[in-house]
Amino acid sequence: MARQWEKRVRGRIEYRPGRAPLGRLSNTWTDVDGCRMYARVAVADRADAPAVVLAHGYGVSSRYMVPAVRHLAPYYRVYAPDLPGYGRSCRPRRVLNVPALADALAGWMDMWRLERAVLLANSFGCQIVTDLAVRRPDLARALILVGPTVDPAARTPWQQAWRLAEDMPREPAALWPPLVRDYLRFGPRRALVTLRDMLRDRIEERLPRVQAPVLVVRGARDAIVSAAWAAEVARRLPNARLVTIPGAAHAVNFNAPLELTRVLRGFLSACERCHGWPTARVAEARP
Amino acid sequence: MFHVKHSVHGRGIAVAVEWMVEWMAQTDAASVDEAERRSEHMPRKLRDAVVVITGASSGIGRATALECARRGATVVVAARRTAPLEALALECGHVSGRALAAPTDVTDEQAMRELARVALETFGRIDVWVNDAAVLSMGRFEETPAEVFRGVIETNVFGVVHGARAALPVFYEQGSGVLINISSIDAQLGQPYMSAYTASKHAIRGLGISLRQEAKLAGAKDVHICTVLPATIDTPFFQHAANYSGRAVRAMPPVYMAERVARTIARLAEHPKREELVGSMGYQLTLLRMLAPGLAERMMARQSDMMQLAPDQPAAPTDGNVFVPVPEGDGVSGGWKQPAGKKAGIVAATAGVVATAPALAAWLWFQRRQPPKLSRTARAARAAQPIRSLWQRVAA
Repeated sequence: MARQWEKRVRGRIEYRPGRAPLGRLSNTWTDVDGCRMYARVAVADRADAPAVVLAHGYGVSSRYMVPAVRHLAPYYRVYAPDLPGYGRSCRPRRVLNVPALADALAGWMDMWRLERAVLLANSFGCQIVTDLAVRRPDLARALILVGPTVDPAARTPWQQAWRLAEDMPREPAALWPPLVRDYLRFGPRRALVTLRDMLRDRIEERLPRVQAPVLVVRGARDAIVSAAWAAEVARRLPNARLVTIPGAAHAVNFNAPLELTRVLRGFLSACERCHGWPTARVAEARP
Repeated sequence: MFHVKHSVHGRGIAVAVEWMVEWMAQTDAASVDEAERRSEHMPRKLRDAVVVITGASSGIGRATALECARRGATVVVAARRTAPLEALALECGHVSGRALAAPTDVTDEQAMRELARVALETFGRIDVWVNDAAVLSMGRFEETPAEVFRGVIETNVFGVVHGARAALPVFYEQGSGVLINISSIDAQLGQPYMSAYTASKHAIRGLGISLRQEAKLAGAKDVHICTVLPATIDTPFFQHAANYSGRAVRAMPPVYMAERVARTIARLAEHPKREELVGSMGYQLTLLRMLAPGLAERMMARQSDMMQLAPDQPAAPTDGNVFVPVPEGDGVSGGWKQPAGKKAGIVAATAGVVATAPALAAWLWFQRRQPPKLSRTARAARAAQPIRSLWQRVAA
């Protein structure tokens, strides 16, 4: 069944009235230090377009990044890997903590020769990519932190569970199947150990050391990341901008991919203007 | 649906999990598609919507911005005057939490595109676009300078055209959006000494019809174009008017509150309609025009001559805010609607009672005509009778 769906998504380009054709996805497996990492990749003959790497959140996989991948694909080379232990990647016996996950992501990016990519992360992924950006500044051209965790005001499993329970009704019902599926595969042992690592990791101490320009995105109805914490994240970063998307909940990449693409494009074009980045000539895919 | 190949004996949980995973895989494809379609439902609640309003520094635009912010919308306000705009954005931001001021001249197409771009880059979407900016020129057609006439058309018509050009591609991309153009009751009837204004308001109404038809043909079910036709509204609009009539400009009564238009716009944003009149005078004039078009025109001409321009108050020619904004008048109200005093309230209440007295008397009179109450024995006798069907009663 899963195969059938992949085939459907891979072979389809949709044309709707007034819509850009959304991107094709392909499945890739890459060996990184003995671990076979899976990634959904959308690179449709635009070698000169900037690369965007999407890092998923706690327990989930690149599956819930698919709407964002398809909206970003007309403008960028889009890569959505599953980190080790998540989704369809290998499942190492040792549960990886934040620095180890960042190392795995860096190793995967090195294999793909992705230098100075735009790193877009949701939720727990933000902790991973900030660690990556601090230790490997050569890999990060810019960071897009979508709903960065963990709010220090809710640093207990109970508070996090309560906030998640508050957030889920605000997400589209379509998020449930990929979420449940990925959590089932993730398994309880990995979930508990990773939750402990996630809550112990102090992203706020790392933020002032991130040199890359950062766009902090928060859904206005996000129950997991409070408005105060999102503002605090933007304040702690040396070079950041905060954007709030009305009507969106925590998984902005899933519930508002079009909006996310628009603010991302605006931010990146402004950054190209202000930092003298090489301006990629991206052919507009619109008819 | 489910392929039950496994033996359940021994490893029940593992099989159950496998079934579940398989079911998830089936629903998965649907779920991604649904996420794609999700944004194309219906007009959003204002709480989750981004509303762009042109001409927001005063009058209807300002009232609309405040009303939308009160209902929780994210507002992007645009006008030529920066100072009142920023004050308004601050006020709206206090109410709804998110507001943005973008000084824009609607006659500049590039600036309007920029307005849409800024709104998209800041909030990611545009749900409602209100084309409200308008200017007025008073005076006979021959006495109105050509460039003033052209200026009125530039702002009123091309302002709306540029707004639609900026907003509609965004709406079609999202699959949803409401474009609200403010026309006038003048698009229904017309007034003397306001040739440019009347022409422009007819143009806006016609443009709305055409755009609506195009949206229909494009199959965009959730792209709506609404036209609002307000009657005389109490705003600084008449103080801002260009005037070549030699007489001072007034607001022709009956004058309605700008908040009333604002409420209508907020309602249209959630429940779009093709055209909406504001103010009961609009309905009366529409009815009169349907029944007696010639009479309606003549009446309107006489009425406007007497009440739109002060008969005894001379005024020097001015081009008002047609080319450059004027600093005065940055509130919602223009002071045309005098607050009714205590005495007026008593008079109105008395008139109301006097007017309803005949109806009350008639009601009482009819009340007595009801059949008399039956005695207990009569009721018992009636209850004893078998219930006859309608057919039997008709036959009898």
